Amino acid sequence: MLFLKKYKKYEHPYITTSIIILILLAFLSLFAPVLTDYNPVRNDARNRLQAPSREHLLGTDQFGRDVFTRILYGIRTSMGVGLAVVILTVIFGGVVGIAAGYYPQLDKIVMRILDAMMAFPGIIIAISLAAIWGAGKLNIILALSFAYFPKMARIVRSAVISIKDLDYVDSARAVGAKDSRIIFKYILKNSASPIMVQATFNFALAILDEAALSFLGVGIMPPAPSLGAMVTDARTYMVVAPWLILAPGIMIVLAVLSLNLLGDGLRDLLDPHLKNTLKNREVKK
Amino acid sequence: MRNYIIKRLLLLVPIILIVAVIAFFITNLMPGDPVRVILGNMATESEVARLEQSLGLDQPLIMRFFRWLANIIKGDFGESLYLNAPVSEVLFERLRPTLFIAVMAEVMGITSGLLLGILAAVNHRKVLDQFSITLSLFGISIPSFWLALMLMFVFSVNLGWFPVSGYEPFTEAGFGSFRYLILPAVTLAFMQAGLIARMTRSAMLDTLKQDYIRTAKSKGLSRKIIVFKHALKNSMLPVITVIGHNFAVLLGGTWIVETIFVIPGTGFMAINAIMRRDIPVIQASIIFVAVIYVIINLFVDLSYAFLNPKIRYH
Repeated sequence: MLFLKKYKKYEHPYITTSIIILILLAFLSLFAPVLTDYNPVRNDARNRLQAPSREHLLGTDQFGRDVFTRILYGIRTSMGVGLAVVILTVIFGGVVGIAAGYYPQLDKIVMRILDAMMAFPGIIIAISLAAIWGAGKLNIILALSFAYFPKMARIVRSAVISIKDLDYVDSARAVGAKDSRIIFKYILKNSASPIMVQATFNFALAILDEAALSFLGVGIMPPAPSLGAMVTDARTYMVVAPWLILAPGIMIVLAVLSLNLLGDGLRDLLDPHLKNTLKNREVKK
Repeated sequence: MRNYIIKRLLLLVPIILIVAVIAFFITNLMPGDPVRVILGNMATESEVARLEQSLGLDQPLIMRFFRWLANIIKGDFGESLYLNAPVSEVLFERLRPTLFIAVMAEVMGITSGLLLGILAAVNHRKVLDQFSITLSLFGISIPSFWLALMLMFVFSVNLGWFPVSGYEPFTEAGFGSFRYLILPAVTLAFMQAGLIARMTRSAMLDTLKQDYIRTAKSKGLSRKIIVFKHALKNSMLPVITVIGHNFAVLLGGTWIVETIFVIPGTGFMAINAIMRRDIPVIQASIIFVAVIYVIINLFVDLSYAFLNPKIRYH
């Protein structure tokens, strides 16, 4: 893979740092049941609103649930939703973007529809759709994918357009390659970089927006642990139990920050035109 | 230039039409029958039928769509199901706080974003650059609802500088009403500043590499003049695009911060309408946001063409 070929651990500190944090978060979320003995949804009325201690690393909430446990399961939800949204966005955006970029007859109409869809802020489309379909994990995954795919489609489209008239594609066509072969073998393979970069930023955005939807009460439904919904619950106890609101917030920031950092790093690594976003050795003063 | 403007204006028509289609069908697929919500559980079938008829809900969806479209072209968004007033009137009444928040956030975001971005580019690979990168990365990574609550906790609850939530209209409290809007605006400005700083920095670094900058330097011009007069102007093009595209993020953000700070603007109204299935209000709010976004981006594209002659003749 292109990414692995170009990547050198010490030359790309942004990628290295973010990947370490992301692996850690993935570890925490995957092994949540092993890492903690507490149940994320069972109430314990005797231990309400306990401050952080050795038994409860991050304290307990208003129902006596262990906050550390709920955070672990919360990251699991965030990462799961984010990953699913990224996969769906790449699929929808890829299909629509290839259709528009490769077949000029479709381009105009598809682009107008995408333009109109992009006029709605993503979070607003997602709130409206989540309200229509009802709250729940699957519905917010679909709602967020629907909100993000127009931008992905535009990126795929412009990658396809910039590649499809290059000589090597022409010569593939001249030797009789079918459209499907040209698209998969030549075009998709060479437009992987912008898709990967955008997908990383979408992952970050999906985590932010899932939290916002759950915060507003149209996302993950309680008592299922979600970082956004934990912030909603913690609002009431902000003064007496600040750990309740700090922990989930910091966790969201950590996940989103490392994904954005990874996106920046990948863009510098893979996209020579944008190389100067983070590092730029040629500038002299 | 005139042809370009006309072309862009004509393009607005299909886009706004598609926006209307999306807004209508999204809202009409919502579960929960508004008629039954209004009348409650005790309503008889004939009462339901009568109200359905008077709201025009008994007709086929496609007929309703064309009637609705004809009405909104005339500026009539129907009646709110709960507020007992025409939607356009309600929307207009609630416009002011939202507008204040959006403008304040955008002004703060642009000023600090430009400043951070320029400082970073000029001090490339130095401490100030690292500081600016980190800060702007935080700007785009902090969830606005959480930042809003943190600011509220520190500045309203602990320090008591601002009211915790609520709003007094400008007509009653005068400039005192801004005290309610500063924290919401700062919340939204934080993300805008992050986005703008990142773009300013990379655009500026790009420009500083150009030959004409080297020429200016070898002419012996001072660094200040090179940065602000020669480089900044050419770095502004991508920055303006970023500002336009992220206006949608800002508008979406007003929905969240208005809800948190309980400010009766259009965003707070929209969220409430969604929770209550007040369909005419939801439709109007969605269309309002989309149309504002489209118009802002029209201006962005026009100013782009104005600043960059290459686009005008394309």
